[in-house]
Amino acid sequence: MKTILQNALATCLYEIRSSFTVQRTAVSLVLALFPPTMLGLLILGARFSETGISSSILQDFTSLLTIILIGLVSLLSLILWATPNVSAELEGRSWVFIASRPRGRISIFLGKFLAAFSVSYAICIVSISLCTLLIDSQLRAENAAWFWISLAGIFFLACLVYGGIFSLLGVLFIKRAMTFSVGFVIGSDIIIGSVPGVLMNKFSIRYHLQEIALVWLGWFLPSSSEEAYRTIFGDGYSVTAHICIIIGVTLATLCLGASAIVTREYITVYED
Amino acid sequence: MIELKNTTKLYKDVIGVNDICLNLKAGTYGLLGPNGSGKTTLINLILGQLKPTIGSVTLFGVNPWKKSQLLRRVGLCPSVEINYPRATGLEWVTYMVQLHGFRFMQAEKKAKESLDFVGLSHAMNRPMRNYSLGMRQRAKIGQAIAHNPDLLILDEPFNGLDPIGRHEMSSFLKTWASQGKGLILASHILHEVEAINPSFLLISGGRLLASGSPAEVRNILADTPYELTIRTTAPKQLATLLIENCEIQSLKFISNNEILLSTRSASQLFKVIPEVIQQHQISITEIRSTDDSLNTLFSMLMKLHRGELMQGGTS
Repeated sequence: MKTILQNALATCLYEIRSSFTVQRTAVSLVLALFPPTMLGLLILGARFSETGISSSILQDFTSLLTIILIGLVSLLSLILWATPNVSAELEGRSWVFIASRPRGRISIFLGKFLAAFSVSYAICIVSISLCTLLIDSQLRAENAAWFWISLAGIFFLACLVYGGIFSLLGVLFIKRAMTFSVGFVIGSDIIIGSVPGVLMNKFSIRYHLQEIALVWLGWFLPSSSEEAYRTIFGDGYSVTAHICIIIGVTLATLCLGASAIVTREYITVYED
Repeated sequence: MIELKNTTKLYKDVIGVNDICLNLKAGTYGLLGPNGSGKTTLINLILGQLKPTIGSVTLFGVNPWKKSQLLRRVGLCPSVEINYPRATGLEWVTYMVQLHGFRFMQAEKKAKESLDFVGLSHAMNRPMRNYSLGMRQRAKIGQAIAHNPDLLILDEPFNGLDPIGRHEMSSFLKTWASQGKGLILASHILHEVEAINPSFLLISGGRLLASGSPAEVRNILADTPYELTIRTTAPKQLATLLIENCEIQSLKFISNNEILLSTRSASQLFKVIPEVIQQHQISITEIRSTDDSLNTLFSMLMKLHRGELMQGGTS
């Protein structure tokens, strides 16, 4: 186990080091700057609005928009980094070098997961920081520090669990891993997660993250009430339970992925 | 060292390797076969990267598919190109050694030693995109030997090397083989492998057609049909003499001084030619085998294997 973790860490560091290309850095920067830019435009639009939007409503909307945009950006980054874990190596013909190492397959699976998580979480942190600064400076938000800490915690869990899921999909569906990942997000988090029911939506990851956000951030959905929310989405569990579920799902996906990558045959006969 | 029992690998309805039985003790082996013959599939089976559809594979007495820890004892230099353009040779080899379970400092030390051994220490801090084909080949060998394996497997190691590179590669392989460690050298070029003087494993169409020392393989081929072009000053006289003294299947005058012979017994022909030219003082300027290519050799072996051709010339 120690060797596996050591090798996974080596893979993660190697991946991150070798990915400092102009293209990849530019993509990461665009992703990190997208939420604060959109937020800035929203605040600017509200400032010049003739109807005059109240500061508290604007604060609610900007908080919600921050969560949605950073959620979108983190998912995109994780899809870009985690899903090609096997396909990139097979296409780049480097798979054979790594797979011919002792426990090389598990090392690359875990290493690439760690790299995807680290990069995506770093993007999230930059984004959260800029958005918090913007909200605080423009709208004088109450407790901006707590807002930052809460979002950092929520997106830590989000990057962990979605990184695990996308890594698993990358192992299972080599050719169309990205399509399956987008399909999973739409199917699970947009469709199932939005079903007004007490049981069905609990199977989506979004539900658990949403419940944690609800408790940590306090009420953030604008023009609504907790009663209405509970009518639609049902009662939640304790934050600890939600965190345990998320960590459990992450561990389960990583175990499944590791077992799949070891037991599957990947054809590497390029020129026999 | 390696044992394959009736091993067959199917890729859906395509046969990768077909019913191969092998028992290789530690030593030097040349795995020869034309492109698409199943060499890489066989290597992947030995390394546990593929699971045999039928039969079994053991490496150092253990099933490699189940125990990937075994790979600690193996060094692989695949035929595929390195695709880490931004990494330096040292970074890449260090990472490869780290994956064998070494800590960074240890791995870096081993990587440096190995790159020095393959003659790449002067360029180890340069990005690999600036490497020539020969340098990349050396880096590949460096990562394969850095952890001091018991068995080294090289797939087409001569690909893309210039004559100096080929000579250096041959010298390196001879040195490695002289240490008594296992070496499997897969190639489709006979003379490159022959220089290392290994035992041959001849594979074609996924089947192991012949195996043994160079002398043993030559014996198998000695009595098989053979085509020969001879350039001489007296083609008619030589043709008559050869027909009288040897079992010639067909004979054709290609030009005024060239004849094309086909015989069912190459060994007999090669015995007769020196006797005839010595007795009758015939001058021969060139003897050229028209089917010296490995493909012809393999097609001949395939015919032998299928029973379409009998040794000694009867078909």
